[in-house]
Amino acid sequence: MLWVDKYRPKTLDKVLVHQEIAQNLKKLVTEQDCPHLLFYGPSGSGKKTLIMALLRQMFGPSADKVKVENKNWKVDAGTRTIDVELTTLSSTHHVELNPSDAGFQDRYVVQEIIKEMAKNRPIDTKGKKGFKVLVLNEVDKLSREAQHSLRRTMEKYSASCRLILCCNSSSKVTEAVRSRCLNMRINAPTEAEIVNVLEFIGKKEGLQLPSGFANRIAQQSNRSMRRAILSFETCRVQQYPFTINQAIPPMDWEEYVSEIASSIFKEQSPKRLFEVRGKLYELLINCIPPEIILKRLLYELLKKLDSELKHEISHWAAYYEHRLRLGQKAIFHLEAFVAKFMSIYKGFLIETFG
Amino acid sequence: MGKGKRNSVVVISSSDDEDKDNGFLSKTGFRFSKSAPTRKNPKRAKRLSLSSSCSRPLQHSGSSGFDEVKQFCEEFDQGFTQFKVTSGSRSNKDLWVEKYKPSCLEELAVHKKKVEEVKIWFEERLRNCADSSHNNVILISGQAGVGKSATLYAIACHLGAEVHEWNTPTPMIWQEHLHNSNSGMRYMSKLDEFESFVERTRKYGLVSSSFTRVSPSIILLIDDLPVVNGKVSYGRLRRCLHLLLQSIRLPTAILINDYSRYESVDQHSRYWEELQQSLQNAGAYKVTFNPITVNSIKRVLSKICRGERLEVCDEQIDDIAKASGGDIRHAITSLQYLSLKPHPMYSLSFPTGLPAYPEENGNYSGHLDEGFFLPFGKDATLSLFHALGKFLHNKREAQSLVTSDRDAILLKEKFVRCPLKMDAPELVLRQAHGQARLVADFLHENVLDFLSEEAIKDAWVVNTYLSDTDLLLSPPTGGLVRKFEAENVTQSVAASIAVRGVLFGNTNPVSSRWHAIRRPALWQVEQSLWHNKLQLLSQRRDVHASVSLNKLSILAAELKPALNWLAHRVPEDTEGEIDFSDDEYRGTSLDDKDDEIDNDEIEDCAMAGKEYVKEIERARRDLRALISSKNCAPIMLRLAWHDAGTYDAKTKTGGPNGSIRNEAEYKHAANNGLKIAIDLCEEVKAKHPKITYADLYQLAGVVAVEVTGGPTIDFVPGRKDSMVSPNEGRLPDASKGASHLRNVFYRMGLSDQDIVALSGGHTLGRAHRERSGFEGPWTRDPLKFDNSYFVELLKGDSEGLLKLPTDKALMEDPEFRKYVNLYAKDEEAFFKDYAASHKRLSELGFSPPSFLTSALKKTITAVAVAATLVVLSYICEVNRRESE
Repeated sequence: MLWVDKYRPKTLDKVLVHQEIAQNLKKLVTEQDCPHLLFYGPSGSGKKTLIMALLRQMFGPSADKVKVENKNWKVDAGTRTIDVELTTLSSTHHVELNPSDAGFQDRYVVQEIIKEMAKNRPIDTKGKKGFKVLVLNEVDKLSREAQHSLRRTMEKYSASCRLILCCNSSSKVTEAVRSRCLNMRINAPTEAEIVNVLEFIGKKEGLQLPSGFANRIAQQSNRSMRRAILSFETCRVQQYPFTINQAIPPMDWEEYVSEIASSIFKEQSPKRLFEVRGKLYELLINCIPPEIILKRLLYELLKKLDSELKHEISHWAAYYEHRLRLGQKAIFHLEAFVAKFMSIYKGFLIETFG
Repeated sequence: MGKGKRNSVVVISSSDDEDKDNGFLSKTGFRFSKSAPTRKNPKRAKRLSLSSSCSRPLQHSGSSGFDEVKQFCEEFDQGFTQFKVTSGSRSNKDLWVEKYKPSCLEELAVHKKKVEEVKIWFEERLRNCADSSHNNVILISGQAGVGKSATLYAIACHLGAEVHEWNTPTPMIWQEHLHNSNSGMRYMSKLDEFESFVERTRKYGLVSSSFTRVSPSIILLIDDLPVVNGKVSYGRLRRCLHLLLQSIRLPTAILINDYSRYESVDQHSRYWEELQQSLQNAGAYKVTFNPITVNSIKRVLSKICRGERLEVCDEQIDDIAKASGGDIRHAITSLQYLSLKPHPMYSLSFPTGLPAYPEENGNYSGHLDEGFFLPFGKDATLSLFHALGKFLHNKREAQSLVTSDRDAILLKEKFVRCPLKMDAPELVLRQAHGQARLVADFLHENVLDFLSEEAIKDAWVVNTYLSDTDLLLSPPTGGLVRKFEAENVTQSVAASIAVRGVLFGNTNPVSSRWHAIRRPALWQVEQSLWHNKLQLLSQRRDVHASVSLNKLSILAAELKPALNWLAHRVPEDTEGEIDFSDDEYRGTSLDDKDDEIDNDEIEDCAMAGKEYVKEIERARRDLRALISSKNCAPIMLRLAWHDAGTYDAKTKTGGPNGSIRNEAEYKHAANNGLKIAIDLCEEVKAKHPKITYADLYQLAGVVAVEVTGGPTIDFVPGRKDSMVSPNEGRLPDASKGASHLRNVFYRMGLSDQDIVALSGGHTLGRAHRERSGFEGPWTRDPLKFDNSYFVELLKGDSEGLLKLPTDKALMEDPEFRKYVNLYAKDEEAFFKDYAASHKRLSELGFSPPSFLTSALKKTITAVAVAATLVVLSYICEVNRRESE
C-alpha cells in the first residue's frame, strides 16, 4: 500500500490539515441533518480524505468496508434503452462514482443511480439516518445536461439521499447546483502543513529526517499533499538514510518533458518538430492528460527562457491550451504550440546573435 | 486532371426502344477532359433525344459534381435493369458478372497459390469429414470483389461438393418494426437470426432431412456476417462464432470483407480485426485474398470481350482494370457498361468521323489520356493519395502572374503566393472523396517532411491551420440536437482550411523528391491510448484498492509513476518490512492505538496463515498417499460433495463446514456409507490436528479428483468447522428430474452449467445398492476422472452401466443437454468448467481470509508441479495394473 493511502487519516479527529474544517464537519453531522455538500479545491488538497472521514463519522467503521464493482445500468430513454457501464465503489451506506467516465451519457447515470438509491432506502432501527450518501467525483467535468438533471433529482430525492460532490473548480458547476449545496472550499495545504505531515509520517515509519529535507519536498510538491507524500516515499526507496542534499526524484514523465524542452532549445526545425511530436505521442499514450503536458512543458521552457520572451510564450501557451480543450485531438494543438515556440525562439536567436 | 476543364459534355442519351423516350434514362455524366471521346451511335443519331443537352459549365465550388455523378450512377442502374428486361434480342442478356462467373479453377482470376491453399484445405476436410478433431472453419478475408465466394464455388465444383449458404434473412428495419409492432411481429435482428441459426446447427447438425440424400459432401458458406455495433452485440457475435467453430462438423467457410484500413480507425474495424484474431486463435484457418492484380483483371476482361465479340482497345481495358482497384466484379460491370451503347462496334471506336458537336470537335480528337475520367472509377483511396501528394508537394508556377484585375484584393507581400499548378484544392478534394478528418490526419502526419529545413515558421503556420481544422471538426458541445447539414458545411470548411493552410503555409516547398506518405501515427496512438486507459481503470480496481476512486489523470500522472518507481527499485518491499517497533510513537501519535493493534493482529494472523498453509500442504501429501493406496477417490469426492452440498444461499446455513461428521448428519439416507470416508479422514486429521474438518474434507475431494487424472482445482483453505447439521433433504435425490436438480442447485447459488459439470463427477465410482438403492458404475473405468460420463450419456443405455434419473434429466433438458454435448466432445472444456464449479461448490458460503492469500500464492505453483507428478505416477500405476 502506498503511504498516501496508508497514512490517510481515517477519522475527522485525526486530520492534520484543515483541522478546523474537520471539526466543523463533525459538528455538522453529529448535531443535525447533513445538507448536500460540495467540496472544491485544487488536486491534492485533501477533499477526498475529508469526505471519507466524514462518511466514517456519519456511519461508523462500516463505511470503510467498501467494494469496487463494475455496474451496468439499463437506462430507459424513451425509445431505446441505453447501457451504461461504470465502476462504482460502495459500502452499505454510500456509493461513490465518477459519472464523467460515462462520457455524454453522464446525465442518465446521475439520474438513474439516485433513483435507484432512493428506491431501496435503508431503514435504521431508530428511524434516523435513513439516507444514503452518493459521492460524485469530478462534477466539474459533467456536461451541462447532467448538471441540470442533477439539480432536479437533488430536490426530488433529498429525503432519502445526500449528495457529496467533489471537484476542482466550482466555477464549472452550475449556479443552481452550487446553491443547493453547502460549499466547502478546501485550500491546498501550506508548505508548513505539508512539512508537518511528512514529519508525522517519518516518525511513524521510524525515519530520520535531516533538517530541511521535508521542506525541500514540500517546496517541490507544488502544495499538493499527495504529490509530497509520493515523492517522500520514492525518496525513501531511492536512498536511506536521507542525505541533506538528496535529489528528489521527479516523476518519469516530468523528466521526459524536460528532455523534450531541452531538445526544443537545441534545434528549431521541422525535423526536430517531428521528433518532438513522437515524444509527445509517447506521453499521450501513457494517459498523461494533454493539459498537464502543456503546463509542464511551459514550465520547463520558461525555466531557461530569456525573460523578454516569457510573456509572449505564456500567451501562446494559454492560447493553445484553450484550443486544446475545445478541440478533439490534442496533438494538433500541442504541436502547434511547440512550432510557435520554435519559431519565436529562432527569430529571437537570429535577432540577438545575428 | 487535365488543365482545361472548360465544359462538361453531356453524354447523349438515347432511347432504348424506338417509341419511348424514357426507355433508357438520360444520363448526365461529366467528362473533365477535352480529349474524352463521346460515344455515339451513328445510326440513331437522328433519334437522339438530348434530354439534357444543355452543356453545363462545371462549377468549381458547388457540390453538385459529386451529386451528379451519384445520380448518374443511379440512372445507370435503372437503365441497366431496363436494358436487361427489354432487350431480349441482344446477345448480352445477363449480367456479365453472372454470366462469366468462373466455373472451374482455371478460370479464376485469384492468385493460384491462394486458390491452391483453400483447395487443399477443403480437400483435407472433405476426405475425413467424419473426423471431428479438426477445426472445420476457414476464414477467407479480403476486400470486396476479389473473388472470395467465386473461389469457393469453383473449388466446391471441382471437388464435387455441394455448397450450402446461410440464407441471410431480410433484416427488419427498426422503423418498419415500429410500424408493425402492433401486429405482434417480433423484432429479429440479423444477429438474432444468426444466433438461432448457429444454435440450430449445433443442436441438430446441418443435416436436415432434405440433405440426407446421397449428397456426398457439403460445404457450408457463411457470407454475410451480421453487422454489429457496440460491445454487447459484438460479444454475442463472437460467442456465436466460437460456438460454431467448436461444434460445426462440416467444412465451413466464413467470408469476411476487409474494409479498407485507411478509411477508418473506428471501433468497428477494430472489432473485426479482433474477431478474426480470436477466431484464428480458436483454431480457424485464415486465408487473406489480396486485391486482384491489374494483369489478371485485364486477362479476364479481354476474355469476356472475346466472348462477347466486343472490340475494346487495350487502353480502355487497362483503364478499367486500373480504376477498379482490384475489384473484379466492379471491373466486369464497368466493362459491360462500356459496351452498353446500342452498337458496341461503333460506340467503342472513337468518333473521329462523326462529330456531333462540330464546334467542340477539336477537343475530342485525342486518345484517352490521363485526364480521362471514368465515371465508374472506384479508386477513392488511390486518388486520395494522389490528392495528398498534390497538396504536400505544393507545386506552383515559377513566378507570380501579374494580376491585371483591378478588383483583385491587394495583399501584403508576405501573404502573396504564386498560383497553384493544380485545380482548386476543394475540387481535388471532392474528386478524391476526401473526408475532412482523414485528410487532416494525413496532412498532419506528413506535412513536416515537405517543409524545407529551416522553415520553422512555416511549420507553425501549417500547424495552426491544422489546429483550426481540429477545432472545426470537434463536435459542438452543449447542443443536444446535432444538425447534420451544419456539420456538413463545417466538415467541408474544415477540409478546405486544412488543405489551403498546408498549401499556404509551405512557402518554399522542397524540390520534389520521393516521399512515402505515411499512415497517421495518430491512429495507432489513439488505439494504444484507449487500451492503456482501460488497463489503468481496471488496475484502479486491483492495485489501488484504497477507500476512494481516483481520477484517471491523477492515476496516470502521479500514482502510476510512483508505483513504477517503487516497483522498479524494490521488488520485495512490502508491508512486512515496515517496522512498528518504535514504541515511543505509539503513545504520542494522536490516538491510533486501534490501528496499531489491527496491524499487529494482521501480522500474527499472517504468520499463523503461513503456518496453516504449510500444514495444508503436508496434509495434501498424506491424502494423496492414502487415496492412491486405498483407491478411495470416489468416496472421498462424495464426502466432499455431500458436506458442501447442504448449503442454502438464502439462510447461509450448511455448506462445507465439516458438519457431516455429526452422527445425525452422516446417518441421513443420502449419506449412507460415508462413515467409511469420515473414518479414513480421521487418520489424516490425527496427524494434522490444526486443520479444520471442513478444510480437510474439501481438500480430500480436491485431491481425489487430481489423483485420478482430473483437473487441478484451486484450493483455498480457511473454512471454519461447525457442528450444526442442517435438516435432511438438502442433497439432490437421485430418483428425481431436472426441476428437482435445479431447485437444489439454485438454492446453493449454483448455475445450470455447474449442475452439468458437477454431475460429471459421477465419472468416478459406482453406485451401491446398500447405499443409494442403485447399482453399478457410470463409466467403464470408474477410477479414472475423464469425460466418459458424458460420452456414455450420449450413447444412451448400455449394458452394465448405470443411468440415474437425474442423469437422464441432463439429456432431456435442452439447457443441460447443451453442456452435455459440449463436454462429451471437449474434455478440456469439461475439466476447466469442472474445476471452476468444484471450487465454487467447495467454497459455498466461504470467503477466504485475506491474510492467507498472500501466503498461498507462493505455494500454489509448487503444488501444481507436485500434483502433476503425482497424477502421472498414479496413471502409470493404473495402466500397469490394467495390463497385468
